[in-house]
Amino acid sequence: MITRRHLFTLAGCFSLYPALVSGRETQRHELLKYLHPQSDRAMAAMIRIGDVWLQTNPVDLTSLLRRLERDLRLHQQPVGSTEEFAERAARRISSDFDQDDTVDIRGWMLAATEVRICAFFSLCARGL
Amino acid sequence: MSSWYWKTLLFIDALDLEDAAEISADICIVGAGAAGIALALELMKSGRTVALMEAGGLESDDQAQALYAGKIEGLNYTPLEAARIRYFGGTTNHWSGWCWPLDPIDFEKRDWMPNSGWPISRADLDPYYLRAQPYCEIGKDDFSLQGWASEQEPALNAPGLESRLLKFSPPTRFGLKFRPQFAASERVAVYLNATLLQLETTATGERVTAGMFACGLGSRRCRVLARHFVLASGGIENAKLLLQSRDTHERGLGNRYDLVGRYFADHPGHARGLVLFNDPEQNLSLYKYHRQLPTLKEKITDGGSMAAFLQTEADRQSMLDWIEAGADEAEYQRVIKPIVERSCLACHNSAGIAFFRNFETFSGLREVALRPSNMNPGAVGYSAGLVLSDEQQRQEEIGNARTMLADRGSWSDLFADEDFFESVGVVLDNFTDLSRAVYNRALSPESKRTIGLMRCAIEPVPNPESRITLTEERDALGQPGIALTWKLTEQDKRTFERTETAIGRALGSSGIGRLLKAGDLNDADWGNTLNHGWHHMGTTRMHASPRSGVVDERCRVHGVANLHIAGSSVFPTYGYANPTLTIVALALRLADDLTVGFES
Repeated sequence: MITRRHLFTLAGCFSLYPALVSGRETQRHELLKYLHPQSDRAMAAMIRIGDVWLQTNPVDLTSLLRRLERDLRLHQQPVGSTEEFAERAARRISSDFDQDDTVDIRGWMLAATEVRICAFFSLCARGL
Repeated sequence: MSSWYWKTLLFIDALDLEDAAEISADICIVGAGAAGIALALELMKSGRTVALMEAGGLESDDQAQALYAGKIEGLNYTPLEAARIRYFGGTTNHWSGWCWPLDPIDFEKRDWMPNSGWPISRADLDPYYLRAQPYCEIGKDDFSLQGWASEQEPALNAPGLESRLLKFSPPTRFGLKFRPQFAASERVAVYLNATLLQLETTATGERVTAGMFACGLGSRRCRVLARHFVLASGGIENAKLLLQSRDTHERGLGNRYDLVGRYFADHPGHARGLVLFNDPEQNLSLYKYHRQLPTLKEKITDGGSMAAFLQTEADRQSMLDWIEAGADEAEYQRVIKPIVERSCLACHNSAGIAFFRNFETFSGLREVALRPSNMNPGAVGYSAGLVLSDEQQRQEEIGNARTMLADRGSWSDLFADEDFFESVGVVLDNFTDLSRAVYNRALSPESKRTIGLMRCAIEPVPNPESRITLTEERDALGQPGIALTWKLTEQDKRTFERTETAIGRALGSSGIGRLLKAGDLNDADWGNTLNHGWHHMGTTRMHASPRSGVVDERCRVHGVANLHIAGSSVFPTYGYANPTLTIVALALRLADDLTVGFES
């Protein structure tokens, strides 16, 4: 599951997402540095979840980011801090469970949003 | 009144009766298990005379037990001679002691569940549940969580999920516990080795006039004359006794509408998954089994459960010596393991074999051998299970179900415990490398993330095709054999799956944790992957109408004025609760009815 620390990281990640979408190599390397504070094993785990989901739900990075942006209402209500972003993502994940918007990843019942976040990490890793 | 009824005979072996002896009493109770004994004890207070007829003796006997054999024609089931016990105390002699009342919703007619609903409500039974608890030695309260859940032992707070209190009886062995009261009674006579063959009725079949009993396994017979008869022989035997009483009714007594034996149910169960809690220090204390477990020494001495299985006094003494010496492994391999293997082979039923399987490893036996006795003497054992709220059940259109959440300690502990791997079985099949990796932080030695194993048991839909029938075979007494055809429905499968999904959703939504599912029940043979609780219910179901039930709301057989039924065979809908407490509560209610009936 997505920890608070992951979400903080992701918040920063989203602040850089225009650069990601533009796909410039140097900026992606910057992002990798930014993502790296998590433990290698946790990162690897998230990437593996993302990989599993992507096998049956192929999507490109741009589309995935737009979907996350929409689900997390980043345009309508821009986040002002990593904490705010984390809270919003946590609410959305909770709401996914309430709405039965869940994904089965090899037996684990996970929220669709948290799986998409994993897929985001996965695609980033592939692209770098 | 038979002259010799009034002698101080206490426990009478029917083998000592003369052939064709006649016994008279106000009330004849057939079967001395939880229902029959509770009923007799209550009637003892009313001043009525009671003949309590027990088909077995005071102790287990292979020949008597073998009369409980039958065919299994539906889903896999425990051999019938092992799934119930035929001696004084009945099936409480191997009862595990779980006590909880049925939920109010279990009594309701639910549109999505065909044939559901009782003609009485939970409120009707509440006073009897209170009175039943002392019989089961579980204190006396209303089963609310208040006073049990606390800051130290909090209930999980997730939307749509509720916690239910479960109390553990020691367990009370009714035959042992209440034997002195029968021995001291002048009003209740207990007849042992007396097997009911036939209920005799008036020409119209509207009243039972006598019960014809076999005395032991020979040809000697006795008759019991009484004003009221109560069948209290268990969920399988009650139906059988009605079906084989065909003097005036071709299809059996009380079976005008072909309902006797139908709607057989048990509680199918399954290890349904694992919960990984977000909080590394998640407090699951409330959901642990707080109960006094007997030590191995207690199991071996004083007629404990293991004493019955160990074959010789020398074996018993060797086992005791080994415990006294500190349960050493070398000695286990040299002396104790052969005893366990020998005992396992000698067990005549699967219950005994299952009992010894726990001890086939050194660690299994050592754990029991060195367990401290009565950690909290006198306290009532308890735990709690998770259930979906009534609203959630309505939304999902499923039966009731309870989920026990055993705390398995940290992830690393889990993987270090090989025995646990085996017991989890199907759940572990889903532990892929991926899922280990996903939460691999929990696998690190410094992590102590909490894992809970979910075990779910559900309420099946009342199903007329699930049934007990008579067979052409004859037993040692010349009586028809029985066949059990246990069936489950797609709706039952849905109850398992939707319950699991709803729990996963609730845990995720509340941020408590994530669920690893046990896997879908997609196999065509899914019913045979489940376990069951030896809870035999439904075969003489209660309903206000004789077209839909065998007994009325007072547990009286429709159309037979003085024949009553006690036990879980009257449950028309089943809930998830282990049935013993409700069996005792209904028996006490019947005792009141019979007492009032005499007074009026």
